[in-house]
Amino acid sequence: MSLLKSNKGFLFVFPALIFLLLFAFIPFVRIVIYSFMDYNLMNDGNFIGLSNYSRLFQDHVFWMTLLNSFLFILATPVIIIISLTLALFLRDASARNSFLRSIYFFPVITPVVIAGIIWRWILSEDYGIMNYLLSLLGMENVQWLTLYPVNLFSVMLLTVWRGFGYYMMIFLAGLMIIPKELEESALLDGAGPLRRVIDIIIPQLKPVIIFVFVISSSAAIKIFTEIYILIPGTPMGNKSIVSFLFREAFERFEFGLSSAAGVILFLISLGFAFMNIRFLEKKWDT
Amino acid sequence: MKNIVLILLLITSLISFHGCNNPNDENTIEFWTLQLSPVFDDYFHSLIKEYEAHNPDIKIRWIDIPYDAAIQKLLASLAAGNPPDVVNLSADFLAKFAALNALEVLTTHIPADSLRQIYLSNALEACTFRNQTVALPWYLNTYALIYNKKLITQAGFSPSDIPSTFSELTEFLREYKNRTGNYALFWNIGKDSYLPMMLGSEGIKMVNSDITRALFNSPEAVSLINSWMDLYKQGFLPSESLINTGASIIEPYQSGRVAMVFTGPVFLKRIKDNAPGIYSSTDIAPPVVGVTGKHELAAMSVALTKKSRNKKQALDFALFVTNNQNQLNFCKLATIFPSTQEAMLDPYFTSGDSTLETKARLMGARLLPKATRLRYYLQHPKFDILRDIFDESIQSIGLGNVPVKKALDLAVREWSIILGDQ
Amino acid sequence: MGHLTTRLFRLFLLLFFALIAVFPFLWLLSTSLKGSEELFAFPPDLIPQTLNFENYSGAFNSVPFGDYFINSFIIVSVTVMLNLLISSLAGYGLARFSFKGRELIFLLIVASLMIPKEIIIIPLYVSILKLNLADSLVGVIIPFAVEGFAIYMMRQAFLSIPKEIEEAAVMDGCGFFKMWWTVMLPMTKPTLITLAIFTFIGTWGDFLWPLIVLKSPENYTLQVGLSYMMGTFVNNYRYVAAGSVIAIIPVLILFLASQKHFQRGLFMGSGK
Repeated sequence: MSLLKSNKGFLFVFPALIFLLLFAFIPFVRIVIYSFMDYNLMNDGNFIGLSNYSRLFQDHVFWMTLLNSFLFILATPVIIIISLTLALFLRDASARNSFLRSIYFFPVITPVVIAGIIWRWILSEDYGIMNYLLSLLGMENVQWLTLYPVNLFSVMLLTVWRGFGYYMMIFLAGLMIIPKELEESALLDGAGPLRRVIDIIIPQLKPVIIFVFVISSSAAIKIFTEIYILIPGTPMGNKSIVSFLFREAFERFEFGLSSAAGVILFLISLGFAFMNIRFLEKKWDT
Repeated sequence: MKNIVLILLLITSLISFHGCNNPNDENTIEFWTLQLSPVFDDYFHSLIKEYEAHNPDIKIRWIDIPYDAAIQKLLASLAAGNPPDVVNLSADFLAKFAALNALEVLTTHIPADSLRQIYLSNALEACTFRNQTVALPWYLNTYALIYNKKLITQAGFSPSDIPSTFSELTEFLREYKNRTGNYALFWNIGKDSYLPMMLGSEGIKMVNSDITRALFNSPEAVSLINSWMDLYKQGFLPSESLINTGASIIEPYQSGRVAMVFTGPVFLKRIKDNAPGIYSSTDIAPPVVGVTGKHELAAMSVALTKKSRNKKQALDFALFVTNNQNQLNFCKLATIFPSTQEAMLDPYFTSGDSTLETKARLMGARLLPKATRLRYYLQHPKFDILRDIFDESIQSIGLGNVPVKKALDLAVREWSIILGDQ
Repeated sequence: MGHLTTRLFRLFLLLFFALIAVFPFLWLLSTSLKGSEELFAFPPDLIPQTLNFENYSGAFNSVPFGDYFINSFIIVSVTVMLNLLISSLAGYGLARFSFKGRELIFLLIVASLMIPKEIIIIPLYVSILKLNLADSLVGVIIPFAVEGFAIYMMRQAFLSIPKEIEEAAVMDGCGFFKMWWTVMLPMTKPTLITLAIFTFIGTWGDFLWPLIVLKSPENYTLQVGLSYMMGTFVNNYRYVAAGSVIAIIPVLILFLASQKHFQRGLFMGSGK
């Protein structure tokens, strides 16, 4: 490494460092401090030890929201199956395939709010087109938005719709680095397409699959906007941990309590981050 | 290199552009209203111009905020130490801020008697927190039953079948659905629930008179709530009744999907603008009530904040905004009602042509002095949390199949913890 | 024979998902053109009986929709500029210089990726209030103007440039900042473009932070404004649909105009 030995380098990094300190690290320290305080903006905040945490752990609504946030991870296997299947079908870069890739990718760039607005209308229980289509098949009205846990399923539907194109692209990238020889030799051995997928592609893609699993799970645990738009009027117990944190902080000004919920969310996402790092290390090792 | 300088300049200019938000000096009165712009821009601009003409040293800075953001925005400005001088609040919100000691007690500036001579007594009552007047009453509203004559007739009903009590309404909902297969109306029971209002009108108490104990698990309350949950479960109310909020009940009416809507007469104009076809067969009936015959008063108020640097001038402006003439002018722009006794006597509210809007206006003006605030618990500073607990217990009955009594017992217990806190 | 059914199955699946991806947009477009009495029609009309363009003007008349659009544009362009500027500076410093604390700083940048935005909004909101930046576009922009990931990406881009280029420039007596601006930055153009596109789309769709900071309708971004239109008082679905169509158009144009950068960005993004 022939790096330029000059402290001028620090000048280049300085603005970024200031931003990260002011808007990531200092706030992070403050949220930990708030979580031990009784702070509501109007007072100066007193230290109350672990009271916020004990209040949180006694609140069954908090546990419900935490559970729901974990339940959203269930969408991940579905998203992986869909996006991997489509990636396998669209491996060749023909004009038709790249057109289809763009089509599948369009929901990805759609803002969540707009996606939520569209789906709320489609899933409207009394007048939505989804229930109309189901009635054509002779099915009963489904309470897509009101009935728990069906409404969680609707939120997952929205995340799958907005996500499958994105993960398909990642799988396409992963497929590009699989050595062609492996597949060719399997083809010579007379393996059918399904066999080739199971015996060769899946094992080769394993790191990518784990990677997709980790990033989509850590996104799922932080879900908020989808819920805010799709099922706003439902009880808090139907929503996510970020919805809970949002209500306590910005509707009720319970900054201490919501900070405690934030610290817990941080610990969970730290767990995911470590999974991510461990996976990445493995990938570099092989 | 030049380009970087340009970019940096642009950024700094954007940041300094913000500098206009400096704290008010004592010659500037900051005045917040709730969701009145852009519809009433002309009215407020001329109102402010007139005031400034009479008070050349004073500048009024008018800021309009969305209804839903009002509480948060005012709390935030209090926390940041730069609240407005004069703020328009729904009377429903007053307790929260009065309890924080953020609002000026007006009777320290004006004798209570002279306030009583100016304003309607029920409106003034709505602006009272712990026996102190914390705001001036502004415009008022009440409910009305707006219905589609054509749909009603098609279903074989006559105008005399239009329900006037809640028990008639439940019968009507069943009958209408049975005859037509459609819902008669959207009725919010789960979120921003109408149930507290219905309980109040039926004379069933939700809380005791000093708001220290919750009472809505009494046999009468359980029975009333039970009858509405039955309607929901038997499919006479749309399934989204449990989660829909506020004005979402209007759109189904103006699309012609349902025959009725229970809301403020102020929405007539919206129906007229958005769905002229429906409007032409629309008629209006008095608000549906319970056995006490009482119906809900929705009062807007104008409060002064304690932090204001020029309270005298702020009060002067608040009195100006809520005086007879200005309220009358304002009420002529929409189907809303004044809170001063004199303005209410104006011919505008006692006679007029035969249009639907006039009918709504005359009916409202006749009924309004009798309207009261039925949701007594709103006087508690934590009314928003109490409301959420109640709403969620109703939702748990409708969606979680929790027995009515059990859900209400649980909610009463949760309320008691908060009410005991005080 | 088996081959044919596989192909048919494959075609069916591809078309099925294409329909799923596209139909909601068509439905939105159709709703945005419907009349009030047609909105709840049952069975629903796929194609409006008459085209009601007044829903589009209705969106502009019932709320300050033009302001929403302008605010979104200001926030997005300033965020993109700041992000590119600061992260390319930092990326260069990290990739090319050796100075005291470099490893620590790089570690901090990577660590910043692990702090969820969703939790630090609580103290950030308090700061924004105290700085008197609540309800301002600046308050929306500043806290998230730089992302650790962008710095990481720019560092990778600078690392991939051969060192000889700078060495030649140093020989010419070029200052470090001038070298960064005139020699190095142009060479990372593909990464810069990709980063700009992704920051644009991400910021355009941002919701949580603007929702917290912005309170006056004239300061709303499109996303906050649309959610407000869905809310209690405006609640006119046809206007919301029309507004949503307008709000998608910029990302749609960007997307169609930059197909190749998208694919490239995603492959880079897989290092996220």
